[in-house]
Amino acid sequence: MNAKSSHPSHNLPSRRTLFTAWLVLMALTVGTMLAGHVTSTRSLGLLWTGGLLLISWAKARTILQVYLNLRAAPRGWQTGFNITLIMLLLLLLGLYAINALGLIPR
Amino acid sequence: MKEDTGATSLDEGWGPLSQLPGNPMIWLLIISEIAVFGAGFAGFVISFLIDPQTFSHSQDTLNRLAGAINTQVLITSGFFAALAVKAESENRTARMRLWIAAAIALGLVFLGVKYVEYSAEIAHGHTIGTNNFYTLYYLLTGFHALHVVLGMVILAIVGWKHSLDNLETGAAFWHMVDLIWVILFPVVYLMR
Repeated sequence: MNAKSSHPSHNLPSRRTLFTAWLVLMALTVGTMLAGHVTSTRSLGLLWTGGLLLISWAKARTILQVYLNLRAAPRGWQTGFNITLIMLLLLLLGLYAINALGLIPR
Repeated sequence: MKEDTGATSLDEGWGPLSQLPGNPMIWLLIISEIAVFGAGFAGFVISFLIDPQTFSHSQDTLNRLAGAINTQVLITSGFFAALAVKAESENRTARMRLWIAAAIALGLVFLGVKYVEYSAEIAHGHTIGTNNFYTLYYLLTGFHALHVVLGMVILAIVGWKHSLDNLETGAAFWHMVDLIWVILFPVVYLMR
């Protein structure tokens, strides 16, 4: 038997799933534009920044699960990538919060 | 008895990585790129913490709308690359090449928008040496743009020397470029 024939690489998403993922990603990008106030120069603040990074998580997860087809991999891999993503975004939010909450004396 | 043909499968010797879709090597690259860009993003936000005023004023000169448009361009390009893989899985070579060409064309659009952005910044005297914000902006977006160029070359190669494994691996690189951008855009262009 060809080693690749039973490989999860052949468990490709359907066109419908790919299209739905594209629609979701486009909609989330509009969400990014709104949360990120693309036409404004004022500071976002902690709440909007949190929302912005939450949307970024949803987009990155959709790309991983559908386009990179991680949904075909064992649960452990999916959780591992998700945790890595969440840790990175929480680190960025935490660093931003240090300034937003005025925790650094100027 | 199983005959030893001397041929080595891509799946052999990769351990848990062989459970991931496509070539395990591309996943090693994806994990490495997440780590490298992740460190870059953390460095960017730390630099923002050190000098928030300079960062906010400098960031306001960026064309945020262009960044958002480029996000949609890359997402759509990724969709086309995924459709190319699907077409290859159905042995529809002509259609696969059409989707690959469309994905590459949108890669060119992305680079075109980036060129316009860079040109505007440079015209205003904002170069890589102006301050820490611009240094990190040019380094992070420039490094990402290099990945876009490399991704376009890879897509062209796998569209030419096509197999399902090649297409899946090439498209995975393209999706990784997309994945990095959806985090880079809010961090570099929007967080302030």
